[in-house]
Amino acid sequence: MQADEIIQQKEWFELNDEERSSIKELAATEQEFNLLKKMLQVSAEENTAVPMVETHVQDELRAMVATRKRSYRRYWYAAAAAILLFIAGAIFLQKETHQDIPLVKVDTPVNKNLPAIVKKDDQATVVPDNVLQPQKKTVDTILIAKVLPQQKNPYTDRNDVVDNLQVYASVSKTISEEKELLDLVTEIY
Amino acid sequence: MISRLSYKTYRDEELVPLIQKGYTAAFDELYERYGQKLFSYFFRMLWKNKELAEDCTQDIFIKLIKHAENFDEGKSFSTWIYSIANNMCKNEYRKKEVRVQHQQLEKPVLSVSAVNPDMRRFKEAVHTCTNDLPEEKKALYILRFHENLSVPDISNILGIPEGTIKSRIFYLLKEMKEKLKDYETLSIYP
Repeated sequence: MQADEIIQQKEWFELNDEERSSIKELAATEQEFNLLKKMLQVSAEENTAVPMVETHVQDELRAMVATRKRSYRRYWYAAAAAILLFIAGAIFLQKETHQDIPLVKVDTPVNKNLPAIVKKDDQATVVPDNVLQPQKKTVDTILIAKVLPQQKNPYTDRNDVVDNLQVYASVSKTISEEKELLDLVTEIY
Repeated sequence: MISRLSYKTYRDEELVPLIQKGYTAAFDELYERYGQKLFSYFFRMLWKNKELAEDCTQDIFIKLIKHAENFDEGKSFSTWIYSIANNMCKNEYRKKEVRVQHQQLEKPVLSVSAVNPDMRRFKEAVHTCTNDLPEEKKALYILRFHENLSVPDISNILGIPEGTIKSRIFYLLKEMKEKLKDYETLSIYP
């Protein structure tokens, strides 16, 4: 226990030897002990002599707290509006990019840039699918390719076009050179 | 609407974040607990100047409302708010204008009421002694003997080790006793 606590809480006659020795330097006699005790009592009583704080202080502070609530709510509303806008934007963009997937098998080239008919000397030459599309994909593969979004690589696409054009050129040349085959085909048709 | 009664059971530390969110009832509760206490502290520390004490009380609560996020919930709110109050008093002491005002207010303005004339004189003497104490000693005296705060709390508020606080309290009492020595023989004891 501190010296001041002993003085506040106990009377002189209640002190034991240990306590008396601990406050000896501060209060060696009963008179000194009582003087300090009374001084601390007067200090504690002084609390009642302090005037009351004016009520307008609390009112002004309360008004400040209330405005804080309004501004705090404003943040929530702004956040909610931003989220709604984001969701609406995402839905709109998704509709824009969506395309109908054909349900039947179509023999169109996998690469859109690939021409199905190659014209030569004002005569339309129909190129058979199996020749034009050596790496023809199955319908399932096509569907998966269309459904799943894939990252487009412009360099790969360009290479595909070049490769395909080379194939067309070589195929057209071979057919025109094989005169017998050409005659046979003409005869059949 | 939540009434102040709902927050009666809340700890001080729990009320602070609610005030930050703008709950006026939580503010009312905390003000009820600390408004008058802080005003009394400022009043005693700042030369019994009521207007100045009121301004400081208002300022400290404004700081609390605006910067409640700075409060660490793991620490004692009481210690935190009193350490801010103590720093505000230090600032007031530093202000030159207030120093001049201090000179003008040196005479005690607090009315002492007592039936016994000796007791009245003694009360006035105690009041004058505490009022004349230098800033740090006055803060220590008020926190310990008016606000009844513990040594660890005072240590945190003033930023001084506990051992130093204990020895300062001891020597402060000794100093006060010497100043009031003339009253030893007066009939002021029950």
